[in-house]
Amino acid sequence: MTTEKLDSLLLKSQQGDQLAFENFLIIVADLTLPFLRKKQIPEFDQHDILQNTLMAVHRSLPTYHPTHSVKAWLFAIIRYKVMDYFRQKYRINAEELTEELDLSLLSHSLEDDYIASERTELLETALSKLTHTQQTIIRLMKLEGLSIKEVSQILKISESNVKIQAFRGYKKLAKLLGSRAAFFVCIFLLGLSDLTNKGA
Amino acid sequence: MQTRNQVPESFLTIIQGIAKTLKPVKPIRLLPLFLKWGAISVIPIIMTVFDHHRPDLSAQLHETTFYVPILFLGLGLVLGMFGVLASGFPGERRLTSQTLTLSSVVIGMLLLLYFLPLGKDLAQTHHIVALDDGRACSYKVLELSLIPLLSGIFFLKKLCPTRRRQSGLFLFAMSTVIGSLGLHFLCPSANSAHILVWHFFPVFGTSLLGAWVGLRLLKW
Repeated sequence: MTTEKLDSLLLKSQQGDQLAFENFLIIVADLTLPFLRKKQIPEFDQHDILQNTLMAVHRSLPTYHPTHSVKAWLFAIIRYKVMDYFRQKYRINAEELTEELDLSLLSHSLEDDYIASERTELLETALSKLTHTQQTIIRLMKLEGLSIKEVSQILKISESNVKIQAFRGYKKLAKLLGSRAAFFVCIFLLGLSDLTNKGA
Repeated sequence: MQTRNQVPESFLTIIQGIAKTLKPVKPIRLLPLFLKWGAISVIPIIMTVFDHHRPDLSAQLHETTFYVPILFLGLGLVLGMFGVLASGFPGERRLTSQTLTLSSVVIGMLLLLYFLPLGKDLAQTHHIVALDDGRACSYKVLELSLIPLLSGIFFLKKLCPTRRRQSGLFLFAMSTVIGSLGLHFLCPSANSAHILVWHFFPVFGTSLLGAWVGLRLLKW
């Protein structure tokens, strides 16, 4: 699907062409669904997220301008709705998963999906190189979705110690993995696959 | 017709339902929105200045140093308000970050000028003395920023900001900067410490509040 084709469909949709808009929404669904499936999001949640995303695209129609990048516009909306879902569903601490991180995570996840499985393996290897405490903290916080307070109670260490260890762990992971975006993508991927496995 | 390989039938029904509700929409343009917001924001300042301006305003209008804060704040405001509205367009990151960064730099430079008086005139008119109680000035800044803030929220909610914290932070900051600009016409103090603390501190305080509020208020 070329950018020009997407742009044309979107401009026709702004003019009220329902068929063009239907085709555009199908493209949005085609982009969003495989991404949600790979993250092993429960099917009933996929339904919700996709519906919200499609409604968001409808609502955002007036904000599109031909001078903007149609892909950037579309991916921003998809990312926004998916991260909103995760924020609510998995009780991710907003300070730890900022909007900045969300966007870099999802831009890579959406556009470079085919390397996701490679990164998962890479992440596991990198995690094994951390200290036992750092590994445990990162798995509990990012994979189990526990808060800092809960982690400190489980490990019987202070909250500030948890934060320091987590920070050191993230830093080491970033160094091991060689790029910040790759690191966060892996955390995201691994985190979701484990979370949904535990829920199953 | 698009390929529907990956899309189950149930979703196709939803898509068709959404597409059926489509009506023609007029693309929102940034510049008219910015002009509307700007016009609404300066109204309270103009009304307040006409009502009870600083006693030395007539004399100050002949002083070059009087216009320095107006120039810096005005430029910072234009850039900042543009950036706030640009952040309401999904995927629009370059214009947003450029304008907001420049705005912060310009306003920051003004604050620096208050600490480092440059030139004889500025040194004579702006000097650091002991900090006085200027709470009334801060309250006035917040009062003058109320209408810009509420109108800014109204305009942003018409858009689709995907970086709500950033949008909220700069929305609150720019609204308070408008208040600080208005106060320049009301408060005769030449005390740099007074200006920095009582005129500009609300900008920082409200910015932090704006980041928190933006995440919740600008949801769509």
